[in-house]
Amino acid sequence: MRTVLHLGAHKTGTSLIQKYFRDNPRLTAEVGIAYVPRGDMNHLVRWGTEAEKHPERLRDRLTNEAARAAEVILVSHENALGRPVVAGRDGLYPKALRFARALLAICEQTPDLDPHIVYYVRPLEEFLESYFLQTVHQGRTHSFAEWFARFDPASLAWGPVIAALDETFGADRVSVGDFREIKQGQHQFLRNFIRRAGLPEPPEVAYIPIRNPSVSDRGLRMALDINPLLKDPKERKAVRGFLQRNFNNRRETRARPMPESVREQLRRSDEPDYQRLAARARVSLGGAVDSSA
Amino acid sequence: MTSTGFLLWQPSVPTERIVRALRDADHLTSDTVRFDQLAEWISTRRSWHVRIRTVLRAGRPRPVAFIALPDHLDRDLEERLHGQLDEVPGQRLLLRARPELAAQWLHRRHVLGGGTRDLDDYLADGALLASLRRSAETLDRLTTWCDAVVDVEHPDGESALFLEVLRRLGAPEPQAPFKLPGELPMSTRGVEILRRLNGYVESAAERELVRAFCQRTFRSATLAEATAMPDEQWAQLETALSRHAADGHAS
Repeated sequence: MRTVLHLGAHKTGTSLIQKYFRDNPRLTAEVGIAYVPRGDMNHLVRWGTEAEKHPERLRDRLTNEAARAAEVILVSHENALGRPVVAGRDGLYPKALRFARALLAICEQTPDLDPHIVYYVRPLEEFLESYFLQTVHQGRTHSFAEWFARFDPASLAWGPVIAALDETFGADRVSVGDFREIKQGQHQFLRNFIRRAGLPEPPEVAYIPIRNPSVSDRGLRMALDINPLLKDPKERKAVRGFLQRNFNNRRETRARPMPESVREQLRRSDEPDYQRLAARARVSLGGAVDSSA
Repeated sequence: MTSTGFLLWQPSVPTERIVRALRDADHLTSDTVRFDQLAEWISTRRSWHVRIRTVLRAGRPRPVAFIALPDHLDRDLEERLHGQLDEVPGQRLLLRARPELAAQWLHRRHVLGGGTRDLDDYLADGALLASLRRSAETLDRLTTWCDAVVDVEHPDGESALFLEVLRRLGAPEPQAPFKLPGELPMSTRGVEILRRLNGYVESAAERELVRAFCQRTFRSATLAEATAMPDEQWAQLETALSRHAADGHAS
């Protein structure tokens, strides 16, 4: 049975995809898609570690899904390959190879499972800035400079992450997506995902507009100032929601914490690699989409 | 005749929920007077005690007059207030707080109003300390005139304070369990978060937005939590107030 593992990356529209499938169970079941919701995947993979420590949990879940007479299974969790950056470790998703192997082992232990990977990328400088903002949304108090100083910028690239997936599952089973396709609108973005993943298309592919704006420059400064005083996840969630609703980049100046020099350096180092992956993303759609538009 | 209770309370200290509970208590007949009204009555020679007698004539049990004191009383007005109140027999109860708490609560009011000064900076204001000192002196004089003084920081919490005030006023206790009305105040941590956010707001609407958010999100479970501060900060407050008091008396 075709089993699509949508593994990220972070900040590449994963929430939109997960919410669409979560909120349309009847539509997707109608065309034979069995979706394992992200909420369930939290327990089954966590940050990649759970799939390694307790592979039987995900394996049992996939076995159960396969028994539901669906045509295809879809699981999606951007944390499955671990954290995008780890202090003191080189590379993006430095544990990607290890966790990919754990996922492959689970698939191999589950009868009749035919795994396919879908993995989206976005320009490195945008990805890192967006992920930094997410860490602040989640309650961290570091400045961009403090955060970025923990990594070797020269080691950050998408190529090795995709290579880890290719090596583990086989390049013909790994579909790369380009997050810049979101510029075509979220409905088209969803259709592209469905096509790229080889899923049967549901009769209606539409979702309410996702309002998940990032904080504005002022919102970022507010968050950094008060985050040290927040005491639990509930408060951090409340503050994040409040700042995103009221001090966001739709209403005022976007937060651009990454210095221009770093942005330029990352853009230069990422470009050849990214062009190659963007071309691969176009191929995965039959070459029909110009994602750089 | 049932005697009248006078509840006087210090402004800008955490007494809002207690006073509201007393006003809401159906076995009390209350008449609340804002100090500016009282001052006007006194200055225009309209008798305060006439007002009280009207309450008494209503024939309801346990009339209680609630009087919110101003930040500090003008000495002359204070004398007149005593004179007026002396004409009506009744239990006089003063709800007051230690000066450090009053200072902390004033700072809270500054932050709730959109202020951005931290407590240290706020206390550096000599006018504020002078006002606090005058207020404390007025309260000391009222202490001698009142039949009882109750500290708002009751060791057993706000509900116990409410019951004690009722007892002192000679009013029956409500059926247990009872719940004090109104929202719990923001925690001191919430006040600090609001103070920091105030530094970024650009309009009155935004100020109200962040204030409402902090009030919703950082509510304290108890009054003790709402006033909790590290010991060194209390000591700092005490030093600032006593130093100013000494300076004031020396000058």
